[in-house]
Amino acid sequence: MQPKMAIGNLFLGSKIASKIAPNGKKSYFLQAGPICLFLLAIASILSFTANLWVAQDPGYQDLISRLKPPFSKVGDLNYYFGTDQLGRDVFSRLIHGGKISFAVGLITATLAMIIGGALGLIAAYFRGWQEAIILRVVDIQTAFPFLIVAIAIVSIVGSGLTTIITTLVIWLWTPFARLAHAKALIVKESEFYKAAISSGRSGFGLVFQHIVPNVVGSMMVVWTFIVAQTIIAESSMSYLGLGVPLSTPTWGSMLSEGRNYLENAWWIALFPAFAIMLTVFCVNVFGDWLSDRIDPQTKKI
Amino acid sequence: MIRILGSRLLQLILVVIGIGTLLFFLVRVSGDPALAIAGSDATAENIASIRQSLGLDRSILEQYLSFLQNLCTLNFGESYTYLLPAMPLILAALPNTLYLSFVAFLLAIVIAVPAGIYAAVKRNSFSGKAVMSISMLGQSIPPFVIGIFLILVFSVWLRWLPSFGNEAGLSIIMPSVALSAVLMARYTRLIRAYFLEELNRGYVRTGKSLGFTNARIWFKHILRNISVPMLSLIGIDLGKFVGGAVIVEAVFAWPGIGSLMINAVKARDYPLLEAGVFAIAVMVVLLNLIVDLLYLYIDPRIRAKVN
Repeated sequence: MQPKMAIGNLFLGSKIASKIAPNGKKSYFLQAGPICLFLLAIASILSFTANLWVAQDPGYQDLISRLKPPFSKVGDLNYYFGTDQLGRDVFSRLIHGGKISFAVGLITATLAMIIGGALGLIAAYFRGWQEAIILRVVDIQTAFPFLIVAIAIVSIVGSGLTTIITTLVIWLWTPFARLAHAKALIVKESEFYKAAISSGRSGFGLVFQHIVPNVVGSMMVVWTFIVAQTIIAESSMSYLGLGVPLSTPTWGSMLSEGRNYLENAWWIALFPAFAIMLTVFCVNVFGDWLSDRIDPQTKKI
Repeated sequence: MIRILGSRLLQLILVVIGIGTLLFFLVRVSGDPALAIAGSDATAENIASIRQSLGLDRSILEQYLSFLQNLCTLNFGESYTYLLPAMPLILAALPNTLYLSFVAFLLAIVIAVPAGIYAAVKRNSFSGKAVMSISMLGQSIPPFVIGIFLILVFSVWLRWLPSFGNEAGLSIIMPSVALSAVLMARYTRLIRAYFLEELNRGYVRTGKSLGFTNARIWFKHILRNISVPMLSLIGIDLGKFVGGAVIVEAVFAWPGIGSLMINAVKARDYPLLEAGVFAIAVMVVLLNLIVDLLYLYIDPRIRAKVN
């Protein structure tokens, strides 16, 4: 068979074999990684600076110009994406709504990475009962539909940005713990690690100098995919009315309001739907690209 | 065999007690359920009598013990909104949820297996890459967003399919497609990756040299070998799949557990919520058990190890 693929299989695992065709060409999507990162950066900057450049207040209700189609002009106001059932500007709400998606995505994934990574390292460093408990929890949580529990928790405790981020972190630390644990165990088998131990290193110094640098790359790859998952989870919860309070626009809540007006005002739901789809798509494409650069084997863990 | 059953049973007990306890304490910490039931214009005596009838005037430990006791007898109390026992309500909605999940899952497998094999075999052609591109896009659209797109196209514009409920036989189409799209895309990509790995194996070469047809090698031999890693991924995905089902049910007003639970959340109907979470926990653990048993059926090596 083609030698190139065989070598790919031998050294780098299945992911490279699937990504590099036998003639050595990379698949088309991988090239788009940096472009996607650029687009995401632009989109998040536009969202976070929305107060500075979007003229319309996202919460301003103009009941006279309700359900106006895209590109309507009322007085000297331009409704590029139309207005919703309360006469609010869909364009403005869309840009402002991005704030929640991006903020929750970035903060949650980062916190989950720090907590999950730390627990994974503890499990791998001490082995023993710490490992048993942590891995057991990871197993149970991975198999269980935690979104259901998250919904229950939020409904009981009450919704809000902090509750959402906390519940999502409780849900999403497990992939990081699993990965950090697996990678750290590999490092512990290596010669340089044994050399470090025999030269008297231990504790934090050992972990931070020798294990962490070897784990961080793959953690970053998983981090991007978790950002995508978080954005989906947050918008799902907002869709169900369990997100941030309704006075703050989010893509999920816009979508759920638009669901009732699909018959006569498709634009209310369609624009946030595209926003969610394109954002998650870009994050995933970037994650794919990153995983091929940094760490081709990790994605499946 | 018995060991597998035993460990799953243990997991079931742990999950149910853990989640039950979590919900119990969260409900108690977050405020007095009696106030929520009584409403804003209730008198102090009203509230006191509700507290007494719910057993809320006893100590928290006593309440917790009786909660655990009720958990064992599947007695979650009466739903606040329907004024009927919570568990039978959930059980009545269960067939609809199972129907939706089963159709969606079947759809994902029926499409993903041929699509993944096609993308692997035609990996250098335009059509093979197109399958991969579509599946990358499909993986990025959450189920409820797909639901909105489907409703817009097939109910609002084309007027072919009903947009909510489960009255007509056609009602199942859009919810199941929305629910299965993510899995379909994910499995297409994974089957392609595993398939490419297997193509280099010795047994494939042997099969070819013996003059087997491609179809025989692909479907009889390779598919069987990749079904073991696929199964383990399916086991991991089950939880997410059930989570997706809840949201899809909400989008299409599908009369299943999901819709019931979302309404329970909005009405702060805790007995119904607890019964729903409990039912889903049991369902997921049982499905995982089925996955475990399927391993034994598919792979004789695992069977030998277990026996």
